[in-house]
Amino acid sequence: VKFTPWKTFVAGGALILVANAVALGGVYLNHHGTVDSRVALSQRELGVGSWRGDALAVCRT
Amino acid sequence: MSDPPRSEAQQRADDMAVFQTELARLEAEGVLRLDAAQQQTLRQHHAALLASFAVRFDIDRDTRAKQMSLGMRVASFLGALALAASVFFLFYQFWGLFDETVQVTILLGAALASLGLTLWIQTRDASGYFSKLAALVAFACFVLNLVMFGQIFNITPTDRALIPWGVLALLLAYACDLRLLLAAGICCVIAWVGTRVGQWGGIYWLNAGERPENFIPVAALLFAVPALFDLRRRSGFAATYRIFGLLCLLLPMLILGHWGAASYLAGFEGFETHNIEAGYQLAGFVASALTIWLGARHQWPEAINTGIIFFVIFLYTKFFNWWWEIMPKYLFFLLLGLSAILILVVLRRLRRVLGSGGEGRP
Repeated sequence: VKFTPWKTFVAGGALILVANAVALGGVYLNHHGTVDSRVALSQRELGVGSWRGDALAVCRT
Repeated sequence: MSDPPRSEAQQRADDMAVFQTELARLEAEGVLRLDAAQQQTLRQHHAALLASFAVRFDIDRDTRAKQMSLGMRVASFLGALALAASVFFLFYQFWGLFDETVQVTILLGAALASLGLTLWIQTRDASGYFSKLAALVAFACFVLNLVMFGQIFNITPTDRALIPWGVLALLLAYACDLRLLLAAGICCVIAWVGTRVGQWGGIYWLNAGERPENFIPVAALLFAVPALFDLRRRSGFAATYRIFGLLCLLLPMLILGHWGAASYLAGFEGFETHNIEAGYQLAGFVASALTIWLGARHQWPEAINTGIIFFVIFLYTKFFNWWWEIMPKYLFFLLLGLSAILILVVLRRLRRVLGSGGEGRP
């Protein structure tokens, strides 16, 4: 197979566009439809880090 | 006649230099003397070839140029890493200032623009250093593109992202003749096949590394690529496939030789952990010895070197298990030294046998 710059750009560009379309399509489908539950977070929960130590510290308080 | 690739042009230039040196020696020893007309024709022919190669491929004409090129390769690699990091931190620095639509446009635009820039540079850069740098940045932009999508839209992490990353890396590797991107593409393929095999065994894809056997099937796939496709015109590609194939076979064996509990076999009745470890240690010795033999037979230096390295690692870890606790340290290291000498003797003998077997071949 001869990889000319133009052919490579078309193939690479198509790949990037398809990958983005699949990812964004998945996001659209995921956000589509009616909301069946909501969780309201206060400032306190939002401040909790993902590290277990932080979570344990919050639990203790 | 089609144009030779850059690697063939460089090889021809190197052969010319070797030929000129040997010709000068032969003339000094009085074995061969070309007359003035022949010398003139030869000089003109070589000069014309070198000039045409230099214009088309920017090859290294002598040893000094070759040393400079090594430095340029290192600079190009470090520059690519720095530029990729710069793009990454640039996005993070100003990310909060943009809404979702602008963020998506920037990520998609950066991936497409960097790809276009790479291919534009490739048409103007005969040396290949700048296109290599740009290709790495293009790959980093595309990886960042999908990773950032995952963060922005809270997408569930998936191993499927490895497919487009691997395809783009392989496309750029073949289009720009870049081994570094070939290695990146192969790593994506290894990770994807490994996670798929793991998922068939009921493992979550991010935990596929906990079962090293998941990566053994991809070894066969990687080893088959240079056997099925003609890669002679691509410098070092076949060797890269073989090295990664061997790593996928020998590294899991090395790990399982000391961590039998990670094997799929550990879940079956009758397979004790220490038996699994012993089995993988034996398999590791056999596989690395077979690799050396196969490399010597087919003249694959990279396979010979990988086989030797793993054979020595298997041997030394076994020595450590047997003797580190019970022997005085001076005796332990003396044994290591003696075993190294024994390996050297065996390899020298192997080289002599192969050398005499190769005599008379074209």
